Amino acid sequence: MRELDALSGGMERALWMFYGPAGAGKTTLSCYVPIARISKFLLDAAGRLPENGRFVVMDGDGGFALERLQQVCEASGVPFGEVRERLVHVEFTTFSEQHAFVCGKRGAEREEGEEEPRREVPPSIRRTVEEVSRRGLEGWLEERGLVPLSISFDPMTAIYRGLLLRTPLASRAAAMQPYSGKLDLQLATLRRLGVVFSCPVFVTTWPVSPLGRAMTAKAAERGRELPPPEQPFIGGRSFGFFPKQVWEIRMPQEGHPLRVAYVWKSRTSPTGRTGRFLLCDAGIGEVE
Amino acid sequence: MTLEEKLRGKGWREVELEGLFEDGDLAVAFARGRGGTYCPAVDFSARAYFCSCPGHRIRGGVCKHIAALLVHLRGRRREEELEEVLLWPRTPGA
Repeated sequence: MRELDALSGGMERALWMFYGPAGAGKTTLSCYVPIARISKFLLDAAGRLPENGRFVVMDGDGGFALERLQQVCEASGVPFGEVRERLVHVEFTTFSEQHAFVCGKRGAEREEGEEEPRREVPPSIRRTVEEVSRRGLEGWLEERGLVPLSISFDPMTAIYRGLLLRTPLASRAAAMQPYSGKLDLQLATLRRLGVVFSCPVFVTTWPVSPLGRAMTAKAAERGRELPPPEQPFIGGRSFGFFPKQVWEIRMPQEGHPLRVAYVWKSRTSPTGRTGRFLLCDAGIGEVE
Repeated sequence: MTLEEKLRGKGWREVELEGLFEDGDLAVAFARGRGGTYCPAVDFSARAYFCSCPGHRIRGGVCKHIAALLVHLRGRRREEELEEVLLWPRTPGA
């Protein structure tokens, strides 16, 4: 963790954003490691985790695995049962559901197209999503006197990206506008939650694909689309604006556990600085 | 000329702000207007602003929601600091 801590100055209670390709370690950096590290810190400092503390994990693509969390926790000497009891783990099937969970009714007045549910989720997760969505995450936590110890949304743009890819290029800019606006509201709300509850918030997304960039540029040449995005990641300008730390996670060599964190935006480190780490059973490890 | 005078014609009076929060040099609010709810934000240290509204996305620049936020920040920040925002380079949309 030394090189990463040197980049960030430690785990700042702020909105963080990681972007990188599939398999880069976004879930490890945004979910498993923060949960294990915060738990370890609290257990060492106070001997126990607060009863009303919660680790909120919004799983965008079904990639979050309890077994992996258990592995990372146990490697850090954290009793998994303590963490499991405080875990709020949800998955969304539609964009509206995602929006209601994060924002409640805020911004829900805007129209969008019909959405097909993406996949089935277990009834217990469905119940939590429905319960929280009545007031939004902030209202739900307040109502129950709960305090988030960390909030993770990985990847935040999963449903958005699916909608984007299904929308023809010719009508994409207009069709995606309501979704983009809501995604911005969700991100602003997550930054607010980090401030209100003084906890770290992690979101992730993917890089813009070279193919997508090329197609958008081609369409722009024909005058059919907005200019290519200025950001190297999916989600629009808000993903560069609202987070305090934005890191790209690079995989120098396919199939090798070495990863490089590249600082795209930070208040504590110059843009372009890098830190190396290894993906391993314990979550992440040092590069010798 | 006061900030309000400089913002004449921006339509900020139509906007209702809620949930304002500040985090260091970043000020964010949720703004309800006729078109829906948006999130204007001003980052004073980065000298950049943002709004999720279609107007800002397309044209960039200070929209009525950012204008409403600036007016709301009077009393919390110096008037000159708020007026200076109007001189910052227009930020692109998207």
